[in-house]
Amino acid sequence: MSIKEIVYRSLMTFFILVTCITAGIMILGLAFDPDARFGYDVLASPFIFAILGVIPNLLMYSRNELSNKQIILRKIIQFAVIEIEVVSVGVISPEIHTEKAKVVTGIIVSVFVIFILANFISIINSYFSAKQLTKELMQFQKNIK
Amino acid sequence: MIINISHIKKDEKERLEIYCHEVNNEITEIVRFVKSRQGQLTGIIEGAQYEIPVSDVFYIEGVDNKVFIYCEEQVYETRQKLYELEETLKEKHFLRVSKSVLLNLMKIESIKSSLNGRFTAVLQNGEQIIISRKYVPELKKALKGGNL
Repeated sequence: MSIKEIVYRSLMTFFILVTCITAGIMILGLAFDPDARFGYDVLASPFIFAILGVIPNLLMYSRNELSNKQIILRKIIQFAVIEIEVVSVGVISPEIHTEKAKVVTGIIVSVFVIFILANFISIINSYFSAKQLTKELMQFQKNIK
Repeated sequence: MIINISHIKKDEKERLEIYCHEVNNEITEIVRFVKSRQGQLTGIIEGAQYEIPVSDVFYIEGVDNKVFIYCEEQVYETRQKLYELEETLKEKHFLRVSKSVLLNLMKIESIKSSLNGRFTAVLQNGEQIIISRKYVPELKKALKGGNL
């Protein structure tokens, strides 16, 4: 993937992540700390976590075309890096009670779910693009014949 | 080499004649170029040369400085370069879909999504060819009737 493609895909991923992280924070908050009240500054956290989630996209950069095996391997590394990033931010942040095992487990599971969800949305998007391309191809071949 | 172009009457058949001392690589190259413009490619299998109609070609691939022509069942080697073929086969609905592959758009059965935003072309003989993201805008343009 070229740098231009990385930037384009990262932007798409960023907006998908902001949505998924907002939903994730809501679900985790309601599960572990339903009485907590926050200021407006909390609205920044989905953006910050989304940026953290997007940075490892750079791992997908390659001058050469990656094989499917290489893509899967890099995706696994990307997922591990995101987990480390998010858990580290959780440990640093005084508002997140990472001393409780269930909170850490909740964060890890949330990151996993959001990672899967973001990739799934991307796959669905590609599926419909491919369907549209096939439709245009059929029309093209019909016009030539 | 002297190049002589003469205008002929509309009812006469256009022809190309080459007068040479010997049929060397240069002459062979010129003949190959003219043939490919006319919808014929020259392929080689075990030293024997074959004339291949362009419409029978599924895709052309460059591998380690060699170029191969893939038909439904046969694979031929060609001495032409991939970029030369790309240029001459533009009007025959061939499109570069990756660094090393020229694909005949008329031989694609469907396009499916692949990992990491790439696409795969499923050909009429069941073979699958990866379409790099870099070449997808060109493909879209071609399918919408743009110039190949």
